[in-house]
Amino acid sequence: MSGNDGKRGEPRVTIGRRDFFKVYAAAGVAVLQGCRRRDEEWIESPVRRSTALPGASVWRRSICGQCGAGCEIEVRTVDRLAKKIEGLPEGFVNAGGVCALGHSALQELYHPDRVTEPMRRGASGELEPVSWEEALESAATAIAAAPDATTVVAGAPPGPLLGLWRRFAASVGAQAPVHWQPADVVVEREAARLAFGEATRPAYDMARSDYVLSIGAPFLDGWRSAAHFAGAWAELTADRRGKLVQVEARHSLTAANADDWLPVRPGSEGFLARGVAGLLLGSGTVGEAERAAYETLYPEAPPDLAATAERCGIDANRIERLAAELSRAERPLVMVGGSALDGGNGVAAGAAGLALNALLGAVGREGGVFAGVDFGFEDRVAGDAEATVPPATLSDRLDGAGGSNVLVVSEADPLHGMPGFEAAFKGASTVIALSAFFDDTTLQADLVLPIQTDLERFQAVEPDPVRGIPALLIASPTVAPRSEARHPGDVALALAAAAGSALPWPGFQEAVEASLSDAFTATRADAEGAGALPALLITGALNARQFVRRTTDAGGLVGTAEMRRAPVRPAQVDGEGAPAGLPDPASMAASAAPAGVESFTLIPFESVKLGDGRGANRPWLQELPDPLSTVMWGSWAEVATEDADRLGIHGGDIVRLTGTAAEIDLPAIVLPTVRPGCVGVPVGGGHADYGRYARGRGVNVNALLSTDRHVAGVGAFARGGVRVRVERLRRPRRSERPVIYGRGLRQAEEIPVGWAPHDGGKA
Amino acid sequence: MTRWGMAIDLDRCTGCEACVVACAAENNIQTVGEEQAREGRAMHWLRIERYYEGEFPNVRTRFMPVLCQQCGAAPCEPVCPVYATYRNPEGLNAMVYSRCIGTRFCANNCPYTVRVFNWFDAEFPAPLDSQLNPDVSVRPGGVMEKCTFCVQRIQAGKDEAAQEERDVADGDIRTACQQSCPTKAITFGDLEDPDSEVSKWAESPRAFSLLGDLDTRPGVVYLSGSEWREPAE
Repeated sequence: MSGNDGKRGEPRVTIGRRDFFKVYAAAGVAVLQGCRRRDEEWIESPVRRSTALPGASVWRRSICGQCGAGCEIEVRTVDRLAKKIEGLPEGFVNAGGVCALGHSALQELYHPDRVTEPMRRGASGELEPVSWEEALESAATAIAAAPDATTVVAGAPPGPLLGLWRRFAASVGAQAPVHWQPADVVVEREAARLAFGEATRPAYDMARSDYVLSIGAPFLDGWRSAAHFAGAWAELTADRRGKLVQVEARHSLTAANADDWLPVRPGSEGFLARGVAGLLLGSGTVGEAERAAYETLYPEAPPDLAATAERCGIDANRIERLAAELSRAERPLVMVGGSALDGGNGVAAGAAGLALNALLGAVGREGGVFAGVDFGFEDRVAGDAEATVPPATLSDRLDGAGGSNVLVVSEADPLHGMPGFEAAFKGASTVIALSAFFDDTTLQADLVLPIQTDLERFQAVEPDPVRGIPALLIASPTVAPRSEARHPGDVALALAAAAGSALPWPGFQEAVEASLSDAFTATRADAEGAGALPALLITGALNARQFVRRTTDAGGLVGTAEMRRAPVRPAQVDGEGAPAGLPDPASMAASAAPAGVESFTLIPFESVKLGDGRGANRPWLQELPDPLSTVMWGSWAEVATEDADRLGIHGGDIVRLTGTAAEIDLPAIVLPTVRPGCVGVPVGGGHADYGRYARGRGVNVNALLSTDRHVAGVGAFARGGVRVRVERLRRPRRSERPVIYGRGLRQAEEIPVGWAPHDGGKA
Repeated sequence: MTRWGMAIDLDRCTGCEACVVACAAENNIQTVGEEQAREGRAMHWLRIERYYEGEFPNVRTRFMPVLCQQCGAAPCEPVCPVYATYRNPEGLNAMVYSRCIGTRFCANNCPYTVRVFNWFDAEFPAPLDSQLNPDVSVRPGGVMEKCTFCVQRIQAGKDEAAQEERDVADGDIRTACQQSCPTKAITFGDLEDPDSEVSKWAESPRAFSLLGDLDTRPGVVYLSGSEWREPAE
């Protein structure tokens, strides 16, 4: 049925629109025929008349917008209502997989506590409904009064929508927008710039590797595309072909699925990378070109094995074995991310990890690492508008303008997600929130503009460069928008027009189509010129209009494997343009420990349940047992068995975590997988609002972080390396007990006995 | 005669729980809220069991999806006083919701603890109910429920094949958990068809039954090559 026969890496422009619509006319017949047999009639009969709709199922293609990865999905709709999300088998990023968060987008769409109409804070101090015209006029007036003190915070995924916010900011005279994105992306880009010469997210070819050393990258926990990496992991480890080694202090879901887990001291990940490099350089297995490439990056000698083992807090034999296995592997690959980039030395640690790829010859080869290239549609829409800036700059902006600031927040919740932002937030005189929910920020806003969720809107996304192949994915709305919600891009355009700075498009879709048209024209004029697409992608289109129509109908543009390329620097082994030496990851700016007898390193982490907090308002996800702690509903602290024994903490006890600025109380879960001296707490809990399922559930671990700790070199917040005191408070009251999933063959810990060979059920 | 069966490759399961949410979405499984969940009344038809082996730092973690095993000799069936649960001709342990009077004897007798009881009527505050699957009933309070192997998908697959005047082909019917699995750790099909994928998986030297010594003759096959598994006799 698919126009490209499911082949990966081929242009998708041959796919017709109808290929994405699967009409199961048989569904209606199924209701009629389903009663033929008595037993089947008994098993299932649609008794809930209000929803037992007689219409046929229609499967519509869409793009999951729960994170910026760009997984393609199919949505089953019945009589214009969305019923089920499944992965699109030919999905460019996800190849049929969808994570738990992606499935739950239906509960975001049909959430009972969505913002349904524009609201403005009235004289009483309460938010009151207003018309869209009034809301836009109020917003435009505020922006026009102080354009240079206006800051946009955009939570859009990379692609044209982000470009539109840049264009909006430039148009109304505001500063460059703040891009609200996962915490480690800014650090990852900077590490890639140092090691590879390009500030793009590296693209990892995990599926074709045979040995993956993941330094902190929690790729099965929701980092980038969990669906993509789960599939790649399955290919890597199928039939024990390849091996995964995970390096991080916390036993994440990725570590749980690794063949080896190296629980190094938090902040020592980069040191481990340097130590492994030293062993590889001394092993005699490294080629001259690779050695030269690496020593260009690091002229100094790496630390020896004993120093590395001491610093990392793990057995030297395990480091030796790791280096030996890496040198024996045919297609080794080193990934960096997550907790390795969280600390004050995150950039240095990331660069040290990425540089190992140069030493292993993994840059630009199958099963290695590629440059994270894209087609540049964000820039096409943005024009010459300034690039976005990282979230950590937000507080400085608000602090610096004397309380006359206008804050436009779209699809972001900085009051919940940014440590210590409350004080700076008070410097905003007017807050305009584009949101589908009353989250912590929206609750404090002066104007609330309801926006559509992913399934209601036209989408154009440049997906995460997980495979090194550029793409632009486009999808039409799956269902009609609920209530008065509008597309955030359309709101941006309407705001610009109301402020007297109209942009040349009536809507976001037209902006995307115009950028496609421009790209076609540039390519036709000069296939090698600036702004051109690979010529292959426009082959067969007679004119720009036909190209735009064909591309939008086909669901976007997907490059080919030939368009992958290595990052620039390691290819230049002569050292041209190389830095004098990458920063030493040995330093770690740990915060001062609060007074107390026990000081632990806090490890905030994102669980598969709540992600960065976005999933907290879905009942499916709140009631989903965390795969490692099995906790449902709320937050918890992961404490090592050894520490718990010493401190007298039993599972479920309420413990207090005290940082330099705040303290939080939450139930303890005692696990044998936590590195002693560390305490893990999931982010994403403790919302002030965000709907009935999230309001007041759990605690916000960001309270323990502070805004004055940054990752050296980029100014991003350092959430790793924070020291906290842990003390047992009490046995939990009934209402405080952690909600632990109570079912099991036996309660956890032990392996069931009595398993037997399968007889196919025929005995 | 068909016997529907499932095979789950534990070596491919990452414990990501996408299948758990997919199952809830497909089968209109209610969430019960924090207080009821604390009382052990969560309604999942499919759960991911987690096992640890060893001590820090040499800890191994394993995950095992557990759902109704659709037993050939099901301990849950003979204890039902009203015959609300029975074995259908295609090997499913079927539930007649309208017959169930809520004695919970079946749950008590299930060694896999996969049956869940509706202590209250399901609540789907509008417009959350817009998502409900019209092919699956919403169970009332006082009724036991469990995995059906997505019987509505089985029926739809059979009907589609009948319309096209052919037999159901292997792979035509995919359960919600199977479809959602990003590592393709689950397969589903006819255990009586020697050429089906599920039959081939069941013949693997890595295949075993969960609590097989109970002789419940499960329709779910697990595969694992892990060294911690009890060695086959």
